[in-house]
Amino acid sequence: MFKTIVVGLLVFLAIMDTKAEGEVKDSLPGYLQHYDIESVDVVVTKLKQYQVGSKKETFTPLQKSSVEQGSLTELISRYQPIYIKTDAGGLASFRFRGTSDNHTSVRVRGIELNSQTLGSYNANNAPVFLFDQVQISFGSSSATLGSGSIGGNVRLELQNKFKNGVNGEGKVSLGSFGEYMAGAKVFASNGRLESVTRLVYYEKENDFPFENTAYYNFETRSYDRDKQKNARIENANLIQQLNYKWDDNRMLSSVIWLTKNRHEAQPNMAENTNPNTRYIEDQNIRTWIQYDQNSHIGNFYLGGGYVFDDNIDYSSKEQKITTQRWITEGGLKKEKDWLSMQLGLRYLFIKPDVYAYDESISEYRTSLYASLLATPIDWLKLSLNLRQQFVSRFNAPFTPALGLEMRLINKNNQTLNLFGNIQRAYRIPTLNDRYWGQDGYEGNRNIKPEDALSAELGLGYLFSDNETWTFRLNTNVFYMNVHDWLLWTQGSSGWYADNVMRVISKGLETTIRAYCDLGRQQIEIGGGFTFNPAVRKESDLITDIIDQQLEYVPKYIATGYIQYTFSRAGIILDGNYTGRRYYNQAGKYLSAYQLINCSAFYQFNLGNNLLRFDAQVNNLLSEQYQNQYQYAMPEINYRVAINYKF
Amino acid sequence: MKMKKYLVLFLALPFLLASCEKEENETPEAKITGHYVLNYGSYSSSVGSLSYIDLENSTVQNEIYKAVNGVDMSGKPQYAYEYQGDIYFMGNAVDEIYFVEASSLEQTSNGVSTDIIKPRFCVGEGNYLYISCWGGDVWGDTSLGYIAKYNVTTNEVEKTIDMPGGPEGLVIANGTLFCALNYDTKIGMIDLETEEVSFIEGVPGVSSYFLKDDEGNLFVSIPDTYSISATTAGLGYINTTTKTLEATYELSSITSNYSSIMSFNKDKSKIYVVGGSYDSFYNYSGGIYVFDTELKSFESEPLLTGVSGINGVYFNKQTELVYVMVSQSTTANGLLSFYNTNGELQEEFSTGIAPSWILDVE
Repeated sequence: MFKTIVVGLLVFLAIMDTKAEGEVKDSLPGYLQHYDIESVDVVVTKLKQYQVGSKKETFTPLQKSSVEQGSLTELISRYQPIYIKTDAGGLASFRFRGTSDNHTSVRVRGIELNSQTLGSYNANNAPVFLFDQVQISFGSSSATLGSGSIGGNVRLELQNKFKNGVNGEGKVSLGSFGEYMAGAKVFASNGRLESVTRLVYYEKENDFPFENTAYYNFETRSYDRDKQKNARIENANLIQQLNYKWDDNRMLSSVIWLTKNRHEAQPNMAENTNPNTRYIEDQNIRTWIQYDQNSHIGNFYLGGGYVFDDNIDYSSKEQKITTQRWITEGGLKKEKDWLSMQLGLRYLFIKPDVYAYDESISEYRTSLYASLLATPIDWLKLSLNLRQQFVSRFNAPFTPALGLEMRLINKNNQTLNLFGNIQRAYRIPTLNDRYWGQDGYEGNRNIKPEDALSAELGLGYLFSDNETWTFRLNTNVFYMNVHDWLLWTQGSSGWYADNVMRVISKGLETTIRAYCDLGRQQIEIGGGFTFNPAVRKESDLITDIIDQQLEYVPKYIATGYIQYTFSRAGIILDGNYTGRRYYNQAGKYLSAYQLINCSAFYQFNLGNNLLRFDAQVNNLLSEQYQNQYQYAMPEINYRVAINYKF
Repeated sequence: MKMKKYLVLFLALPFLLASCEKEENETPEAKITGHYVLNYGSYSSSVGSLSYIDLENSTVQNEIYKAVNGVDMSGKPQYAYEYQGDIYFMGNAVDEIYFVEASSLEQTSNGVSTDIIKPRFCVGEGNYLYISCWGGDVWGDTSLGYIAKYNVTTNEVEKTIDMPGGPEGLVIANGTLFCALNYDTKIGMIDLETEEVSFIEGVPGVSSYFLKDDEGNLFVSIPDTYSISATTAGLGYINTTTKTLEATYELSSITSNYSSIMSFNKDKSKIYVVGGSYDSFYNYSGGIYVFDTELKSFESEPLLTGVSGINGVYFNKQTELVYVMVSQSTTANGLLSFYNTNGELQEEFSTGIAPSWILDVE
């Protein structure tokens, strides 16, 4: 079946007119287009074109700048109704739409950042300052992105400016509990050749006070105040981009990202008395180079990358966990009138060196994908994405995806869109799931890929009076049915990986933004809400509770913000509510919590340059809460920052 | 005069003790009205807990410690031991020993952490609990282990005695503390009078727990572990008089779990042992294997097979039912299943997470 479709698409490509066409134009009125989501990364823009009908979100400049001192975790959990399970800055994992941490892929250009051994990405290791924009896609996208993208996808975007001269910015920030951040970005270009250097150093002692609820004092009959120990964080990141543009039709872009992220594994409340420190260090080399050319044949792209991931646990340093990856991807995109097509091939070779694997293994993964985007009438956009992956010693499923965007109302000052998609998604089990072999922990070579069917349907409303007010409302429902959900299960001689569950996650998501431009003053109010029942529907484990909300999936989560800028000053007040979360199936849950934060800035013009001061109060009401069971979180804390743009 | 009185008392002592022993044998066993189930919990999703199984009413009350004390149990309890009216817990999150009054389950004092590092198991003698402690990351340094001598009247560790090799299960026999070593192929011994340490060498694997028979000799579990492969996994038999390992009985699938993995039946003619293996599809199938102590061999057919997540076994000597503890995941409650000696399921209770030991309530 797949073969027939691919051959058909190839034939269709061949007989299409060879004249290069521009992008399929959106019929959105001009001033509304400015308010729609924009990618700043040209490579990302090309890739996401075929992801039609899925919910996507990004961040306003003020939102991004308010947490540039922090990590991706802080940015997303503050401004999007997405739950991220985290401790106080060391380790964080995404929980998109009720899925687990290895169901969300995080990407930069053509590189997936997720660990090939664990499957997940630590969102605390991505400093917000390093990137120009962050784009979030909700729901499955395996057909366009491959294995793992079941719950969502996060793209960290890097801009190529090609602006003549040298410009950039520097930032220094100080915060509570020994927090210090320094970063710089320098763009240098002569219009053809561009160098972009990005550098961030971050450290935090993380020795905040908290009430230790794990240790009840039977003599005083109370919980004692405690101080977090052994939770220091120290991250260093360097990105170097080198780009060359022959003309508007030919470009070479490259990126190398070096990281050394070291944190002490935060002890939970019960273990806070333990004097031992466990350092975890992630060292990564990530490179990607891509050539893009528009010609009469079409838009051709060819990329290649190398990734080296080294995870060092200082409590057992000799136990090596490293993986190397070589990636190649190429494809051809062709546009003709109302049709756009893409054919591509991605090859990945993985070579792990992990102390607990019982043999020297390597793995290749080849993906063949095809995409079709049709705009037969200016108010209708349809997409079809097909992907077949081939994995050594493993059968990956064929993944089709069908997307739809329909403009129901298209008046001068308002639009109403209907969007939706239905697709199959999957996740290849991680290398650990299959090959780990250690006392009490056994991988399973016979496990199957997780296999999901997901669908969503939503409405997007946009209104603008063309002068003062802009209003945007997106609301959608989603449904996801994941078979063969993989878990590590306890047997009599320890733990082993197996496909044990079927999970259904469904819900409602709403985001709203209202923007008012009064000349020197601007006001924006926005927020998001997620209602997400996610339950086990079937399980091979007789002790599992069917139809109970999954652990670490809040049924309710909401965010809200109001930002006000006046001339050179601005203030943003934001809050988020995270509903109660079960942390086991024994009926135990973590209480809901609300966090309120406030950020303000004032900036001066120094000739053509800009000097900006920022101040922040986080957790304004000093809420005592746990995001993760028995892991302390900081109460009220402060930050100040100075930023210079030239 | 005073000396003479002591001399008479000293000479009479063996007769007094013999008389006590006879009386004890004649005293009918107290009726077991219920059980406490110690649930280890899990590292990431729960502290430990105590469940109460009311046998007379066939009911279960989970979180009974919390119901009494108002707070969760401290630490991940590795083992619980009733001694002199108190129940002692070996806490493994915060390394500590803490105790509750056995009759009320009320905890009135904080746990003891001084000189307690990774406590595993304990056994009582006189005013002392002998507590096996790994002493740290024993998998990296096997020399760290020791036995803590804990005074139950002062609630202090009076002394530590080095016991390298990952000390685990303990038993006292013939005036000697026998110590299973989970990271060495020896059995440790401490003469309780002189506190001298010696070893039984040449054990065909690591060891984990003991059962004492009516002769005062010991059956010891010898599992195959990732760290040390056993040349013969199964049960060993130790003569406590000669202090030698007299025999080994192979059960290659004997579990390496840290829980109640074996239990005598009422007349100690059988030992129920937890074991299991992976099938060709990599699914783990656990079961209960039966060792005949008279024939000195395992029965050809296990009592139970295909029990996923089997974690422990216990034999109720009054009802003659075999209890099987099941723990399939770190986030879900466990199960306590009662089987008759033909392997037929009689009753089932939901416990806390990871049920691992049982204490009788009489």
